[in-house]
Amino acid sequence: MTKTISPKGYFLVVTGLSIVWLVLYIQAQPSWTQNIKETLGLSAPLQATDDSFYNSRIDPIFEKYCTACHDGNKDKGQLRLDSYRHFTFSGRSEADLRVADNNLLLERMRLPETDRLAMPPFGRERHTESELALIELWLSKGGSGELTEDDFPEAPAKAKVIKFADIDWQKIEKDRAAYAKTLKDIQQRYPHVLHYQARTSNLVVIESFSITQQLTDKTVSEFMPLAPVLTELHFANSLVSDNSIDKFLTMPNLTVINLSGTQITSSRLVELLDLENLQTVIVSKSILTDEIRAAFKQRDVRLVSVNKG
Amino acid sequence: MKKIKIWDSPTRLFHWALVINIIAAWYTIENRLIELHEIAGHTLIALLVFRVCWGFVGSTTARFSHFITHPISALQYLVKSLKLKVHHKIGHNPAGGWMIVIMMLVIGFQLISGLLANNDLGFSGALSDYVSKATSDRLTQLHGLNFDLLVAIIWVHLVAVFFYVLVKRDNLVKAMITGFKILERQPAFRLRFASMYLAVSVFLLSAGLSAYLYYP
Ligand code: HEC
Ligand code: HEM
Repeated sequence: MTKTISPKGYFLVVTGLSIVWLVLYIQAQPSWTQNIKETLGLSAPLQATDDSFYNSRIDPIFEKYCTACHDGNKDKGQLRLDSYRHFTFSGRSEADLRVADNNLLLERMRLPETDRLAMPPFGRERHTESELALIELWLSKGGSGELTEDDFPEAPAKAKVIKFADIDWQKIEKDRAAYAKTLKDIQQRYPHVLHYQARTSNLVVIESFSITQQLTDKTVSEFMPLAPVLTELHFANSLVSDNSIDKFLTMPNLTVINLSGTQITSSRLVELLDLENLQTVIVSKSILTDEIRAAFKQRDVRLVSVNKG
Repeated sequence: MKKIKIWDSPTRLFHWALVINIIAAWYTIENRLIELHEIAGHTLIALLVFRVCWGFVGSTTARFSHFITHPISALQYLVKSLKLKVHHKIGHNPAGGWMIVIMMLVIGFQLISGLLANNDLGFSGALSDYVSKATSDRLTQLHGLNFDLLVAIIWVHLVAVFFYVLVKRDNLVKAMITGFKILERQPAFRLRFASMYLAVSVFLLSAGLSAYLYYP
């Protein structure tokens, strides 16, 4: 206890210890070392290939149950599961998650759901046994980012997911706005006759079913304020005649028109083919000629004939 | 040679309780024992509040007025001290005084961010309801980062203390345990020691505040 240490010697030791500590700290950040290696060109970019089993089958499971807490936003336990690259870097425990034996990720997913250490934690949506089995299968072949679906013939086929496009209700509301009031007025006059084609559409369908015997060319005129948004006219068995053809021709969105059992004749029927969006025309068989059939065929508009009248 | 009392017992107790509880806070969170982590945290709140108050009303060597000096003179002291040209013997030296202040701020931030943190597993700090979830999440991250900063500062603290112990042959560790130092002569100014009753009262108030936060 009598020999004193020189400041120089002391700080040499301190510097040494600091460096050891720094090295240990950097080693605990595998992403740093990998980034450096890649920048220096010492390593190829660490990532799963596009057609890898990981990307098609494993990543979606992590995405569904884990990334809420394990991604760039929030790397709980310093673990990210939002890509193969980050999966490889592991978390605070620095366990190699690609090795199937004693795999920390599997262990924590296998725990009973109420266990203190269970992943996902209790209360969160939990993976199914088959999803867990799929991860086990993938890890049993080395947790690779390159093996493809073909390398896992024993994996059950991927369930088809039908995805609906998100519905933009505000846009629909906006599209409807221009004719909403007109539609409402006419609906009041003719209840149960006019309605939107779908909950997501601003186009209008007319079903004359409840008013067939009152539906004349004059009634069609009353619908004309809605001409730009009318898409289907179901006028079967009404009193509509050739005089309404001109009005139909002002309906750019008309796709389906049912004129069977009406007073429409063969004389002006082909004029309907001028309608850009027309898809289907339904008429009585009796008024059809070969010429009309040929004309419709040529424009690729479906012509349906109904035995009536 | 004279044996002189430098540190009062409240300050010494505070120091070692701080050490134990910081280790406990680290150990508990490392083992995912969040309830115990919170207890360690609230104990630290009581300790830190006590120490700040003691810095105003406590014994001479514990007071901020005794160890906060102009930053420039603190730097000058640091340089001279490294060259072994000065030796401060009573209480915190000018550079060390500033280290105490920085430590208190960093620990203070750790405690406040902890009170506002959450662990996404159903636990949230006592005051976290006063901020949005997003803010709480952010502060949780900062709580983790600030801990690294705290560890770095503790390292600097240890390097400085052992510089005294090993190079300057002044055993600060022993002094912080016993409260006494052997000096060649009596200090030029009189060291005043605050009463135990005062220490206990101030601590009870601090502990009360911490407990009030702990029990909803
Ligand atoms: C509600 C948030 C949350 C969700 C969801 C979640 N985790 Fe965690 N996870 C955590 C927290 C917090 C930790 C750190 C504390 C701990 O280790 O318990 C953690 C730690 C881990 C660790 C340990 C990391 C290490 O190296 O110490 C693994 C492995 C893990 N999670 C896997 C998963 C998997 C796999 C899923 C999805 C099936 C998942 N987690 C979903 C919150 C979550
Ligand atoms: C000085 C005292 C404290 C120390 C040293 C400390 C230290 C830590 C550390 C190292 C972590 C891990 C952070 C990470 O995973 O990135 C942590 C997490 C946490 N601490 Fe503290 N803490 C202290 C005080 C407190 C207090 C007073 C509270 C509030 C009661 C608190 C609440 C939390 C919470 C909720 C977490 C969870 C974070 C997570 O799961 O990501 N801490 N603390």
